[in-house]
Amino acid sequence: MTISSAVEAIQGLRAAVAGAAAGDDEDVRRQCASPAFAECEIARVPNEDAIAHVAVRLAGPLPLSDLEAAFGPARWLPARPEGGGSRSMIFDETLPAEGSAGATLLAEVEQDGSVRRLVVRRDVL
Amino acid sequence: MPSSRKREPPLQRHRRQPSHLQAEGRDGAPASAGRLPGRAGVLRLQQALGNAGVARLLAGPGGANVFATLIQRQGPAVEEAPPGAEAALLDADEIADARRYYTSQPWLYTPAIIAQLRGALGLNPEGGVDEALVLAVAEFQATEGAGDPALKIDGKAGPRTLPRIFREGLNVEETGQEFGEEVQTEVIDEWASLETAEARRDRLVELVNERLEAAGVPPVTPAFDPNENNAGSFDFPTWRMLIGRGRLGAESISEADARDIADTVYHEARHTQQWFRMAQLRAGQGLSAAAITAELGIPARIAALARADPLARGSMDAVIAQGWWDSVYGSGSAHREAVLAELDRAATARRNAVAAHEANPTPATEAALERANERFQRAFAAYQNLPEENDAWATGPLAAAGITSGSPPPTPPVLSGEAGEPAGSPPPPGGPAHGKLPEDNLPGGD
Repeated sequence: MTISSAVEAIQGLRAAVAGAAAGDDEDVRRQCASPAFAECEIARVPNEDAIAHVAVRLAGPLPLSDLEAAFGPARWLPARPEGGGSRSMIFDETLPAEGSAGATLLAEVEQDGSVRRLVVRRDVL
Repeated sequence: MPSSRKREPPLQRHRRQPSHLQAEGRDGAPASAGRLPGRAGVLRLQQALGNAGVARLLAGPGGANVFATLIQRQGPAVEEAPPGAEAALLDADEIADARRYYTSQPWLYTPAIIAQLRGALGLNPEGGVDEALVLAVAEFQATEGAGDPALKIDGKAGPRTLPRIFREGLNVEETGQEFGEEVQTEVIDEWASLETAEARRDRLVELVNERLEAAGVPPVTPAFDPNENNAGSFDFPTWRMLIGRGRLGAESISEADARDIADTVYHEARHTQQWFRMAQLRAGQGLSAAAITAELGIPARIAALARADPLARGSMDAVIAQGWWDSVYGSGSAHREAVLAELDRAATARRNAVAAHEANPTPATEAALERANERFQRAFAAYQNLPEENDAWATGPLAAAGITSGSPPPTPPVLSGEAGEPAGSPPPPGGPAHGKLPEDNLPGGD
């Protein structure tokens, strides 16, 4: 997997998640089938059809710097209450603007600085 | 926003460690600490970790704990002070210090908040920040706050003490116990019929979501944690409750493990409530949904719900949520990150020391293990003293109190012609054939 193909797959997934209508996730599933992703889990808002987020495991680890080059600077979020293991970073430039729908990118960063898991979260503001 | 505030009596509680911190043996069981500490060491450990944590730490690979008789508490940690003995809790300097604590933060401890605090403690609401208030808070900390984790007796109703005085949502005792009782009857007692780890996980989360929704908190989405041994963790960026498949996939579950699951899921759900209250706090302070999404890192839909139902400025709920926000996102955030990082490092150091001592036990590895254990105790105590953790650790055991047994023993398949089966009994109409497990008897062609 090349960096550019992985970034392209993430971009495609973001576009599909941002544009997904409730109950229609065909495009999201198609993007999930990319060889850049080893696993892809679609989560829905509880008691609704709408997609909440898509969690993906990458086919191979990516350096955080390469993701930042593509999606802008990433910012650490506070550690999860339980702490431990990976930590989440958010790519602020992927947050949607007020009054629009978007797909926010979050990365789970391992202690060695690599990224193996991503979350593409559907945010409507 | 429903608010069922009430004061609760002190409780018997146990503690657990976060799953990722538990020392693991090669067989996946909690590893032996290698060297068992002396009686004083055990009591110090007990204060830091509680009986359950100490039992895990000291248990050998086979689960034997030769110090079991030592780790029973030596009588109640704090006895209820007799009437007229309150002054002994704090000296004059400590009382003056506590009064300054309130008066130096007038934006937080407004006259209305002080009046509510006094009223909750049985004082005349109009007395202001006087010695009686400080001593009443100290008495509460010494008696109702003497559980696990214990509150520091300093007369200051800060971010750890206020949520115990003004209980709301998941830390109301009845709410926790009812959840535990439902986990018992609907998950543990139905362990076999639920069949899969996914079904058990979803039922657990469904039950805790009922409590969250009753408290006006958006429900969480169930998901499996990549860490199979994780009994539960709240992931605020995705608003998910993560549980390890390994915790729910066995064919039976012991009472101890059932308590741990109920405690942990409820503890983590309390974090869900905290995070939503923080979002509501920031909404009440004027932030937009977009700003709350960006600042807290939570989903926009959660921020929008908080924006639609903000905490009123100057309310007790807002003062309590401010304590959590200060710890996670505000002036305490660097301290919190340092505490969590040290906890991870100390847990790793302890695991390494255990492994080194088990591989080649010498006086040097024994001493190193003791140092690693002491370091971990300090790190764990600091972690548990974070305001949001202190609150969640006091909340989880409310659910564990509703667990009364492990799952019923799995029913072995009864094969045709075996002893015990009535001779000649026909298969039930439409049911599985004799000698077959239900899952082996599903309709369908080859």
